[in-house]
Amino acid sequence: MTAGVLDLPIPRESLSRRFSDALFRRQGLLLTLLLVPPLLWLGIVYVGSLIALLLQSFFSIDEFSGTIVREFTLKTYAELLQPANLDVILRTVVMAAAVTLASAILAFPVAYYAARYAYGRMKAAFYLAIMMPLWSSYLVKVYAWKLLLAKEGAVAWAADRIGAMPMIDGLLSAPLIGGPSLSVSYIGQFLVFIYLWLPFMILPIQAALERVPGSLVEASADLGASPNQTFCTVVLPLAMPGVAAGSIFTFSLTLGDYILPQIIGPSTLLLGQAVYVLQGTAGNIPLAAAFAVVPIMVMAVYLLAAKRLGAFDAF
Amino acid sequence: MTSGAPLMSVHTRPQDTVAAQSLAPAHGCAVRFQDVARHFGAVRAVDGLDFDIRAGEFFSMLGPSGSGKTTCLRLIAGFEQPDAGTISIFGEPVAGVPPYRRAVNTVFQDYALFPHLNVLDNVTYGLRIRGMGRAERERLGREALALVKLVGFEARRPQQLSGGQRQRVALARALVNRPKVLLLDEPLGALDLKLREEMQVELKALQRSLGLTFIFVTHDQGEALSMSDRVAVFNAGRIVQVGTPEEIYERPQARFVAEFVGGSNVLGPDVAARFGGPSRLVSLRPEAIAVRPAGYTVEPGRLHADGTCIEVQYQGAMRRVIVDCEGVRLCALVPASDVRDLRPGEPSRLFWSPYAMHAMEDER
Repeated sequence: MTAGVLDLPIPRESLSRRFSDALFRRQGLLLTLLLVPPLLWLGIVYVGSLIALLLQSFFSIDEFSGTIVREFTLKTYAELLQPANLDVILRTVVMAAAVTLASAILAFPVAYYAARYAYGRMKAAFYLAIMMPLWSSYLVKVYAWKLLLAKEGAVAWAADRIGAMPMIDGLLSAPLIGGPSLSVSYIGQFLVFIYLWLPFMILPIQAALERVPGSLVEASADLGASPNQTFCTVVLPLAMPGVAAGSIFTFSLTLGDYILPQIIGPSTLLLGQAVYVLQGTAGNIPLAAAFAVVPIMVMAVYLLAAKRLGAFDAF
Repeated sequence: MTSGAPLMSVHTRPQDTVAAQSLAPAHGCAVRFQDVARHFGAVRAVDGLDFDIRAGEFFSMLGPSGSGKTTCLRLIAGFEQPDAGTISIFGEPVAGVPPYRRAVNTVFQDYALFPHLNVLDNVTYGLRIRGMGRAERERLGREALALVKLVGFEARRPQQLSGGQRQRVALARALVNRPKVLLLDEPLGALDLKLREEMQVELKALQRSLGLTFIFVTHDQGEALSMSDRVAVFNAGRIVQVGTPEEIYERPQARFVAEFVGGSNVLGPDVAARFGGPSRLVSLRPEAIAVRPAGYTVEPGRLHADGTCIEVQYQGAMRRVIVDCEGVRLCALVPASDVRDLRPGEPSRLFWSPYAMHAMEDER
């Protein structure tokens, strides 16, 4: 088995070495062994349940008995398009878009600093600061924010101390997005969504920016571009794949979340809550399924648009 | 972008073709360094630099890695600011002038082509930034591509090009802006030997026909000597010698220059005297030494030394012979036919003309 000519001791012939030999000669076998378990998982558990969900959305519910009628119909989708339900969808998509946009704007400078200027300890500190919120429980964070944003909470207290209370009151008196306090308004909901998903935006942007060689920025300046022009024509286009990846996270996570809007924000439902309520207390599985199809469609449209706009061209 | 800045004037001057640049070069000084220093922490990247680069010349900065030549280039481009001293470009001090306001363009070592733009958009990037219309800039871009022999590659992405082609795109992208000074940072480093030699010829021809000032950074002494009008040899952040290739090669002023440019034998004053030369620090070029078998009768007027052959290196038509002469190792570069039968360990006699021993500045 040994083709070497060196006068070194030959490793003991073991079962694992023979196994390695077999895999070395048959690369296809290795690939099969590595891919079958995840493919089974993805194929059956994930895609399978998605198809089941899709099928459910084409069933309907008997209005008198409340049982599911297992016959193909578009009745459920017609129900989905009723104004009250469209409201839920619209509200959620607007919230997700706003959260995504704000996250991208907030994340970019942070990611840019980390990718271009942070080295050694600063970089470690950066990763720690970004990742640490992800280590603690989601529920703990959301409840903590509820307390912080409450009428008598820390935010209001601090604002009162520095005399910024009129500003918060002004914000809260705004139509639609306002409310009696931050914790029961869309503004509060928006803030906490950003807090939760920001790391998912920062990390992909940072990864994309790290792959932009510093010499490209210098070359741009060398060719006469001001920092502003360099940012718009070189840095941003090359970071777009990262922004797109990050926005997939922030957008889809906001579209599907059903816990945060229960705890923070007004009593009106977001999409995730609608699914939760419909499949639980209301027992309307077909409509819940139809609602669950919406984020999939929205994401598909979003990704197609991003591709059209050239967000992935840098690859 | 304020186009009224004086340094930008060359870019906004209406001109029809890239070749129109071949106006006679403005006489005088393109770049002047006056006592310039740049430190990174405790590291003196460059220190006490004081030299002129003439307008229209091909000026090379030669030195080993870490000798400060690239820092020097970056100081001219504006990517670095000096900690002391003054740099002037065409008579104007450029302290505090950012790179995008300097009338110089750079060909980067890694080419730094924009991966999200095709070849033509890469080349016309500088013109687009200056607000030139699409038709006009694409015409100039195509001309620049023709200049570097890349017609037909306009729509390719940089990733689809070979190293040599990328290098040409980088060159066209810089030249299309008609810089007063073109900075080249080891642009041929990543190319294979044949391509490198071709590009050397083309670069030199281009520089001659455009009449531009080229500042060329390299660690390859052959490259520097074959292309340059003048060469500055860098070591440890300082310039050791500035001169024409002939001066640098034939009359080195310091041990570093003699050794780095062509691997000369450097003999201390006592050794030089023992071999019959002046009692000075002396450079003796390998190709000035002839190798013969021991006992060979040397013609009168020649100097000689006897020693033991240590190594005969194959170098194609030539052989590099290393001989130990009583503890002094001499390297000779001789025709293969001279040493056909020479084997390591055999005695041999070296001889050379006394004029081949070039006295240098003594070391402190």
